[in-house]
Amino acid sequence: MLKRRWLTWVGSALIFGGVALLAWCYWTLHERTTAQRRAKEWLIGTTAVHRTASPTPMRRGDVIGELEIPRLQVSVMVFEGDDAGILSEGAGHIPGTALQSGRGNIGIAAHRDTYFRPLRLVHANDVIALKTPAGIARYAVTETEIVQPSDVSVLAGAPGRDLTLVTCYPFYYVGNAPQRFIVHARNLNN
Amino acid sequence: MNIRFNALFLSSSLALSIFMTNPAMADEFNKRVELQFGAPVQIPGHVLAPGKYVFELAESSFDRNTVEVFSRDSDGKENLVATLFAIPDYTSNTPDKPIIHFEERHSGSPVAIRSWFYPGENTGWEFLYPKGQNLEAEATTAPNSAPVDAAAAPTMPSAPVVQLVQQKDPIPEVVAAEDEQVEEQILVAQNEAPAQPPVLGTEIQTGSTQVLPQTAGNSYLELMTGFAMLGGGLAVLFATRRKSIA
Repeated sequence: MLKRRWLTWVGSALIFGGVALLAWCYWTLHERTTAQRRAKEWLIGTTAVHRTASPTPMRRGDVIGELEIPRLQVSVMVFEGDDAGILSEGAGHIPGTALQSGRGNIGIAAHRDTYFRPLRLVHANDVIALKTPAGIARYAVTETEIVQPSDVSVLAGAPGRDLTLVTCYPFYYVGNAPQRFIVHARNLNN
Repeated sequence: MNIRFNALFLSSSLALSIFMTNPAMADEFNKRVELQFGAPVQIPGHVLAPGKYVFELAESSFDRNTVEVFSRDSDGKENLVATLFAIPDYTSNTPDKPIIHFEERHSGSPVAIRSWFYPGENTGWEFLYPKGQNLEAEATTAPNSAPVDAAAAPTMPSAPVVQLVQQKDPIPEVVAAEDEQVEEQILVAQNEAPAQPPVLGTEIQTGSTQVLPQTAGNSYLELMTGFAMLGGGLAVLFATRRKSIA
């Protein structure tokens, strides 16, 4: 009898714990979706207005634009910043890298278990589109590489490196991944 | 006990159902056109061997200028041949069937697809070729780059036999025997020269960045743990209940 009560308690606790964890997952998903939707609405509303405006300094959390890789069905809003808070809501523009197409190497990071998971299937010449209030810039993937987290040279400007995507590697790994997966792309508008 | 169990079961089912909903996507969005070429044709970066191909827009909410080209083998299986960047093109005559515009290339080279139009729309998509190749084509073929109805292509002297696969009344020149070779004959052009690696000493623009961002998340682990706990809890309660009934 005691054992049965104990098992009932264990079962109930597991169910409550599971429901709580799933509710947490749902909440984070909801927050992320809401942030993405609001950013997208903002971008749609401001694209025409800001098309000719001069660039202003960006603050953490500002909307940079929308990144798409059509073949991989990746579509994510990009915010300024690359800390955990920003990356929980979308992709983050790495501060210090170029902000505008044609002005150097734009660095964008996102989680390997959400928006950038399909990057494991990327290959040369995949088209990447980046929509900002200034217009749409298109890039073609030139190469991928796996580097250590300290290797920030991948963000350096170089011919053929106009956009660099960063995510964690390996893609299937429990905990903090020890390496980074890098995708380089060149600007097609040039 | 039963009421509490049922309540738990109901809430668990609700939690599960939240994760099982999936939004549907429309098909018309892609402007899908199925074509069959009787001779090799060029698209940017690739030469398409004779065979069946599908042209469609990539599924993108804002970028309506990325075209995906698929080859179709004899089993109907589609393989992505190229993802192409295009720019909008315009025609004053609204076509009632798919229209392909060709451009001649210098002797020995297959004709190139310049643009294509979806039936019922004035706006189509023009492919962009490397600058030198484009100028060369313009110098030799500007007068011949008239629109070619996809179904009427065989009458063009230099254009390949091209047929709209969806059509009910196929053209006699359909090259059915070559269907099996479509995949083998696809000639994939060489990529452009690989990007040069960063030059040593190049200024790294990330003045404040000392390390690449931490992009590992645990969403899947949390989700799987949640489901495992839920499943485990339900299993324990079921087992307990069955035991008590017995």
